[in-house]
Amino acid sequence: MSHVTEKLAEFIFEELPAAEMAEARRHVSECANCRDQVDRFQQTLSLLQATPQLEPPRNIVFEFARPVASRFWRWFPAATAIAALIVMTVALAGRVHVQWQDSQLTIAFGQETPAAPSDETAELTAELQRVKGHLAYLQNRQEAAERDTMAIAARIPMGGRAQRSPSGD
Amino acid sequence: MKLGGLKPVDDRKIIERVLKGDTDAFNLLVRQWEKPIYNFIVRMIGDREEALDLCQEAFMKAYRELDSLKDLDRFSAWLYRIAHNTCFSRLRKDQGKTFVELDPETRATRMPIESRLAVEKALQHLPEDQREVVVLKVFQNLKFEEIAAIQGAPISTVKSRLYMGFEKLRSILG
Repeated sequence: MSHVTEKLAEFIFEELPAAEMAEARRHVSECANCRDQVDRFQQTLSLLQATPQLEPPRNIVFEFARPVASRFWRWFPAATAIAALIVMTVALAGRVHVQWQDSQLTIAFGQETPAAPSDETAELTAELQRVKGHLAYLQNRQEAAERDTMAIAARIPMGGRAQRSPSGD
Repeated sequence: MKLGGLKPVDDRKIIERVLKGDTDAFNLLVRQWEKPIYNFIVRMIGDREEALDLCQEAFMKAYRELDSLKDLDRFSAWLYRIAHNTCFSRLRKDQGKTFVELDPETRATRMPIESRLAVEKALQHLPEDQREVVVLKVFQNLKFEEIAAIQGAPISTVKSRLYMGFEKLRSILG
């Protein structure tokens, strides 16, 4: 085999085909000139390889912007909220009662429906009427008694009261 | 072309997710590749913070142009090509200006700081094309074919850049 000079790099880095590598090794072991070249190359290589791999001072991390959603999906939340608001407004429209009375604002939810009077209500109403009638009767009696009392008092002579002194004289 | 020690199948799955709209999955690719890409860039540029910015820029470009990647199994080669363009664009801006700084996180390594700094400095003295070949070959373990694709140069040119680079490094480092 010829000298390894032309294939020194491939020989050192073992990039020669297997058969050529074997032949080159055999030649280098026998040829002082080639061995010297290989040794010098190896010496420099060893110096270089002794320097350590460096760690990056910090890791590289990319933060990618999220892909922009389609126009439909971008507006979807807002559109949903608006639609829900409209539905609620329509649903409540007939069920909300706003009233201003005696300087007081009253907002009432739910439809007002006149309730049919129950039997108990009717009984209570009748009882109330009876009580009212009795109260009116008692008031009339009281007024009549007051009038009688005043009439009797008017008939009592004023002098009689002076004749009867507390001392009994 | 597949890069040594990489997982093109995993990359492919992640890329497919990203292309289908799972943008957060791109961070998985970043996590998988940030260290090798960062190491490549920092050795090309010589400045840790600047390298991180460029690394981020490279990944951002990759994300923007991901749908133009025809062969998903070649993601790593394509990513290195983007990192290469990002580096060379930066190097052209600051032509002749190099940075060599101490890396506090690697002080505890067995290699003495002086030796490590000497190596880093020597690397910065190489012409950019040679430096890139040395970095991609020695530190990133890429094949000559892969480096040729990244540099857009014939394999023979890549090899001769490596030889020249090594000769110069040996003359500097002794």
